[in-house]
Amino acid sequence: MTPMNSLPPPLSAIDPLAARLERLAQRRAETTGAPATTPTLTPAPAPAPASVPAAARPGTSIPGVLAPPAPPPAGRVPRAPTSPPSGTGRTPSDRPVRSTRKHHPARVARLGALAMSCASAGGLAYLFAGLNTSQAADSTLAALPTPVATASNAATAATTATTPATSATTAATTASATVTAPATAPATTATTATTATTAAVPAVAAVAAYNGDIVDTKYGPVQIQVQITDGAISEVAVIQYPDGDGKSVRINARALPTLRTEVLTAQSANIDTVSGATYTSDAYQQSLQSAIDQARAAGATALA
Amino acid sequence: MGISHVEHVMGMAVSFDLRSPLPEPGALQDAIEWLHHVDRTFSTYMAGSEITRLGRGEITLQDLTHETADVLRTCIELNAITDGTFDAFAVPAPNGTSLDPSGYVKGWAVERAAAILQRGAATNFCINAGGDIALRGSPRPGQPWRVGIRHPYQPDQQAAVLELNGPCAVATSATYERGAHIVDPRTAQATTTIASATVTGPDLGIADAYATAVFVMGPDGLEWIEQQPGYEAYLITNDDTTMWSSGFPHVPSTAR
Repeated sequence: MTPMNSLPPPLSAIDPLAARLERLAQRRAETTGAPATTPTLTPAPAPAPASVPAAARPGTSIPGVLAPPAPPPAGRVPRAPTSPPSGTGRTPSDRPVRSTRKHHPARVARLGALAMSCASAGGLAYLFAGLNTSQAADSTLAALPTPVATASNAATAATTATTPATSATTAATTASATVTAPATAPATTATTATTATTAAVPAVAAVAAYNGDIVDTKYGPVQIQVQITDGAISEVAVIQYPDGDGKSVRINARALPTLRTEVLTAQSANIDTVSGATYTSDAYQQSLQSAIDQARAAGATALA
Repeated sequence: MGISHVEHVMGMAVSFDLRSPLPEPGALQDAIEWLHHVDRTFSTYMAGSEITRLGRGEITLQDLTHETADVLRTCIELNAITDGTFDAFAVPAPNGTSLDPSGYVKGWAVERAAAILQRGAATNFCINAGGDIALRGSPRPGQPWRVGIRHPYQPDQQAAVLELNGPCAVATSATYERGAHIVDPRTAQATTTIASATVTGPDLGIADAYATAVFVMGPDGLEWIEQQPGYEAYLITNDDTTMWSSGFPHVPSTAR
């Protein structure tokens, strides 16, 4: 934490940082009317040059940066037929990325389900109990019928019950893990149960299921369960369907199974981590990365 | 076996995912402490941080630590390399100043955190700091890390999946999470072309700044990134077109 006052006096004349800070002070003075406080006398320099010496390029000697690892392979591949900006972009995703227009009705139904998931703040696929969601669970759990185990999901077809309302708060702080056991597994025993589950299988195959919160959507309450095998999402089941008015039933019959299939297809890419825009800590609670972290935490505990 | 930890720091969640034992367990705590130190120093939200005070003119260059001055000098170099599209001195910061090196600091801090873990003899791990990722080693013996790029409009979808061997970094710049605009520092106008820009490369700090730069440059950024050795980029435009540089390490959809 040594101050910079050991540097030679004509700092602003040769130090681009001093020059930038001076410009910053000038702008501050212009916008606030306050005098510039940076005690330098050098006029503002010209804008940064468009090119810089090779020594300043990444991979060589940018200060403050760790020495980069091995350089890229020599002889870069000539630019591939990268998609031109207009229209003809290839996409590496499983389904066309160009997705918001001119699709047939089944697609519209899927998009409706996806919109429903977005509207419920985070997406049906990974509605894991967040740190601040126990109050919602408390209020909705008591009023809802027993969740339905999905017949299409053999691995979770055993009586997978919702965490009792009285333990919802605990669930929120224990990764809300409900292990796929034949009987109701209180969240507080999740770690033990996970160990028991994994004891019978190879040590790398930690299997656990996580129930998302019951979320009130415009179509009715929805709950998703995600089964995670060795850190990757291996199965997604809708364990609480909306019911009630005809509109919701229609969504049930068409959109939710499709949504489930789509979610599973997308997540079966078996990813280790997710890159995206920086999310806040609150948004993280609803993110796929949060689900992956919970799975890793459970696996690390069970396999320790 | 592995260690998993999530630390909330710098206004985001930082996930530590260690796939092999940590011979010196204290290294994890050291890495966490380091991130909190960076937060206290470089935060553009805290009134008392060095960066906020510098931006407000409460302190001057002579008052800065070497560490802070070095980071800011690197930002100036990155401003030149990126043809002015990354600029820590000319974009509005949350604290009301025009000094915001966060676009480099976050990645730089995580890169250093990874180095701290490596000093603790960690070999195979991933640090994911709010979507920006530092990778070391491999997740499973002989296998690459598989990194999903979140689709900007479909939170439960991956726009692409990358396969990467550590050491490697992945940074994504986009506006869908926090709603804030990304401003082109050359025009002071919000950019509207790109929905998501991802950059891979050896250093997360540089990748972080380059992701911002490519976001601002738009499709031209792909030509630019081709000139940056070791770095690759992937763009999703606001009209749902995807495009990428020649060496971008994504997995073809047919091979997933």
